[in-house]
Amino acid sequence: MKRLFYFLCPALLLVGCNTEPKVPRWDVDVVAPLVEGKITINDLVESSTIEVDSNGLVHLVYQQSISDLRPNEIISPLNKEFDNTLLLQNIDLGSPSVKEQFSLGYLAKGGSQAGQFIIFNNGQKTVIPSFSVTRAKKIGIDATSLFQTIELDSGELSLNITNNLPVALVGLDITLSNTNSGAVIMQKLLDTLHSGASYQETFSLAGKTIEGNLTAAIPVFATPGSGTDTVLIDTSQTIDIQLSLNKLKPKSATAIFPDQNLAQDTADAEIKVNQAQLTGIEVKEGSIFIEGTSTIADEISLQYLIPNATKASVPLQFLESIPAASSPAPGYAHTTFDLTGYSVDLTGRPDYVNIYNTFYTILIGKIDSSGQMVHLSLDDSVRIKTGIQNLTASKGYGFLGKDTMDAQELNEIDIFRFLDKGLFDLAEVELGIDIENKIGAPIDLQLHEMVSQSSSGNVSLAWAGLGQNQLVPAAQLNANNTIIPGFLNLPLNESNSNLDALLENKPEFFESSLSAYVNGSTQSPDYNQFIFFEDGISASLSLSIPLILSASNLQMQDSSKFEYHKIDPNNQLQSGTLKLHADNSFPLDCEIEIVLLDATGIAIDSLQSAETALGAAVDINGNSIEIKESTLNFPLQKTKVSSLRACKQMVFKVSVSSVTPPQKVRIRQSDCLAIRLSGDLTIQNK
Amino acid sequence: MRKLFLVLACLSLVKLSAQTDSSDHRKEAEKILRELRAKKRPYLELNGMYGALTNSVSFANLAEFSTTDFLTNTDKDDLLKDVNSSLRLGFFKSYGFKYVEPGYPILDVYHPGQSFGITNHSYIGSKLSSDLVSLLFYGNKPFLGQEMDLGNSVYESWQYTSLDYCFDWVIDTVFPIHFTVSINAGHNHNYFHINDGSLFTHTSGEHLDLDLEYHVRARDAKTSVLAGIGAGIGVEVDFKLPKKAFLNIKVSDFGFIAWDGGKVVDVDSSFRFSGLYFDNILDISDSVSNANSNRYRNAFYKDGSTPYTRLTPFKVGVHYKKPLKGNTLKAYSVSANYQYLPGNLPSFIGATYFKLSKNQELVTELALGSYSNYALNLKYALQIGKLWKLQLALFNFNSLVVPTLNGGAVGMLSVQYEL
Repeated sequence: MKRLFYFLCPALLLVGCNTEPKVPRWDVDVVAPLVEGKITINDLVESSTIEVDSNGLVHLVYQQSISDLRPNEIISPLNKEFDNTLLLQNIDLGSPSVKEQFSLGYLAKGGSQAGQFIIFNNGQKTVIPSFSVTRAKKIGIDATSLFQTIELDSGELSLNITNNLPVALVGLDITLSNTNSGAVIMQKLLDTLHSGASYQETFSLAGKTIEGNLTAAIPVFATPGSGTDTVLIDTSQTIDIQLSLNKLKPKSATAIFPDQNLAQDTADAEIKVNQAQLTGIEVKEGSIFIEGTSTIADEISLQYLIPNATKASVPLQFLESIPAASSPAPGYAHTTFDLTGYSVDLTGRPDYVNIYNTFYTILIGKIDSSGQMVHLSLDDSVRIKTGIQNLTASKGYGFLGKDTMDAQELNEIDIFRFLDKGLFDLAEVELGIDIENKIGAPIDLQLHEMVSQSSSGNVSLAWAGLGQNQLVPAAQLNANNTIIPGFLNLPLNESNSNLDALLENKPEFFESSLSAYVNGSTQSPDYNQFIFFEDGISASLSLSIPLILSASNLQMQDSSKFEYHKIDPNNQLQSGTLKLHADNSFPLDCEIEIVLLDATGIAIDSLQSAETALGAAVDINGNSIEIKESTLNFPLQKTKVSSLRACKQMVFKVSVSSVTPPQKVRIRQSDCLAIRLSGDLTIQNK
Repeated sequence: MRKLFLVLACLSLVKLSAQTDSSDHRKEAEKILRELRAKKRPYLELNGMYGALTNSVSFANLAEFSTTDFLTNTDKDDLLKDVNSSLRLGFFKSYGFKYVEPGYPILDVYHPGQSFGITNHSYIGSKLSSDLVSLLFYGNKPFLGQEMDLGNSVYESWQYTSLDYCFDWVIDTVFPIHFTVSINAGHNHNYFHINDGSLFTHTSGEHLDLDLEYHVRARDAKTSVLAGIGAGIGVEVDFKLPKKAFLNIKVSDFGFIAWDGGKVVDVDSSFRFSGLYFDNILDISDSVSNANSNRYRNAFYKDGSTPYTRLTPFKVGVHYKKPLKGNTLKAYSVSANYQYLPGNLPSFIGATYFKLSKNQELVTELALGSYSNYALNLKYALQIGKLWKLQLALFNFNSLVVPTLNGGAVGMLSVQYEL
């Protein structure tokens, strides 16, 4: 066993040792093309900024907004609240009344001799003797369908008696009392009421409590007869009595309240604008709300209307109900209604004239009778709060008034961003300042200043139009309510301004300052004007630069991320030379430098060539006529390779100079720089 | 088992002594005892082989190549100075362990043997055109404006382990056939064959013209325990000839491995490469450059992984051996061998067998062919005690003696322990 162990030990060692033949490293010299391509003007400048004329000349066309004046607001946000409190006094309990008749026949039935005489002679003309009526008359007045009891703060009882009998009445005693409690509400004694006469009297009910069941009583009265006169006896002739309760102002009541309007309140709401006289707006956003609190144990209906606010020609109205209070909890309701998109007429109520910026609201609150007996007291109330919240307008119509909008803006100009250092001289440049007015009112516009800002300094625009009013026509609305803007173009060129100096400064920013005066020169209000929230006045530059230039070491640069390990993951590159073969039809000499940046953006090295990619030969007009071939060598010493490995970003710097300065050369669309990059490299095997 | 044989032998002696006269009996008994002593006992064997053979690189340069860290241009010049039309190179490494119960004849009856073993194989076979070798070692810069012939180049490497079971099948009583069945576990494999190819580099490097017809079967991945699975067989037959000569014919390691996946490329393409083209060279984004490079890559390469199957580097051989009656020179043999590897040629070998002492044997060989064109080989066996046996072999021994001679060298070691 021991021997077997000795045998297996080296066996296990041998099996566990899986050595591969070692391969040394060595260098090989490789010459190979790497990259080919071409650079045209389209690669240097965004294609959207390039236009080519019929001669093939490239123009840089650039449009840049320099100012955008928009109305901050058409109206100030409107917030308004209305309070309506409805008390018991406001509640209409109605005017219950009762009408009763006593016929002559009824009076004659008392059993007296005179009575029998009258009945016997009915239809006859005779003398009616005097007699007393002892048959008391009680009249029941039932108003329980309206109320059970009312404790009145004030009120009136009207008594109306008409004597249609052919004889006078004397000692007519009339009493009105509560049936249940017997409390007398009213008592009246009439000494005489002649035949055919009426008596009317109103009694105050202040402080009285009346019941739904009332009794009117006439206990006794008499007649002196017709004396010697013969009169036609007609037993159907009557004494008419009418009792009515009016102007009831209860302190408390237990009643069935009839359907009735508690309130109808019309209120004006005026929106705030500066000097404008608006005839209408379109609501951008905003809402109205209605909030009701009621201690009445009956449902209150609310209706809110803004008759001049319409959407799809339908006026704005909405309904809300305050539920019946359930003591001790009051009935409560709250509703908000979105006004967005509504068109609101601002000329006030229908009977108003020469009113602007105003609309009106109507609130109607009413009891929808439930038919139930409900108790009310002076403490009961219905409080209704309505309001308008944050009402703003997206469109305004009417006279806009006079207003001033100022702007001072700094706008980045990226058309020269690819240029770094160096000088260039341009020719035939043109700049238009385009003003577009989307406000339906004429604008006086003043450009105060325009400054070309770059790292090399600032150059201010010199132009006679600075500080002068430039009238921009009002915008119009077409049939589809679409704006047709008013335009104004201010042309600048080398002859009327220092435009070329402005541009040769290679501006990175244009700073501009301008003012717009709305209705600056308008004499009388024009109510056909309009203003839309999203549309104002915009000013933009329209720049056209024909690429006719002379340049001296004009530097362009572009950067690109670089990850060395992607192209040489095993770090096989040792040294060598990058060869750039250039066929150049640009009339520009190009010197190329590649700056290597580390991960922090710090330049750690650069690849440079002693050679220049020569520009094409040109004719007397500056047009390129012969392609030039050049080879640029970029040595890659070991230190450069180390730098390449640490490089995370490459900055390609191209310094261009026109081939025959100061003669200006022309850049045409057909010009290009064809590049073939090859490597003469020493690479180590992996 | 040993006791069983002794019993059988005694029974045979008793039987023979009962049938013949005494002198004949003695001869027969001696014969039986000799044969009983010829009985072979089971043993364990540990073996390994390592080395490289080549047609045009000296052992000294091969040694330097495999030991130095960096090759200078002078080193490369020395290394490749004798590469004429092509460089053929074979690398061999194997190690294994096995348990053997050898078969043997006894009393005119062949007692079949068997063995179990495991062997790890690593092979590289290559034949590279001289231009391809130059391209690999010097690059294309020395050949600007010239067309380099890259064709007729092939490279193949193998790494696999075989689990072998060997057994004897006796057709009649004395002519066994030795069979081996193997299960192969593939670890790695790469095969590149440029059937026809050329590379032209413009004098200033502006473009490359590449014309290639080539085939790839490559795993293109790191070695793994089980990247492929396969099987193999081996057959070996000994024919007894007059005067104790015999003829051995064998085929071994004939099998296949099915690789689970790799690059399977069969391409016949040509193109001019002028660099990756960009419309706007200032905007070389990753996506653009990848698409651009993939255009060329796709012309010559194929993404994706495809299973494929390759024949293992099997061996065939014919061996004739004739014993001699000398005291020292005990036999001679001639043989022809071939292993299925790229760049390898059949080898023809003449050998002499010497018995140096009771426990030492030496074989000398002169071989023609294979990777090294010609070679002197030495094989030495030493019996240590009754149980241990050591065998050493050096192929292309002449390169060790004169290291400047081309050819390389391969060494082999085997240790046996009798159970």
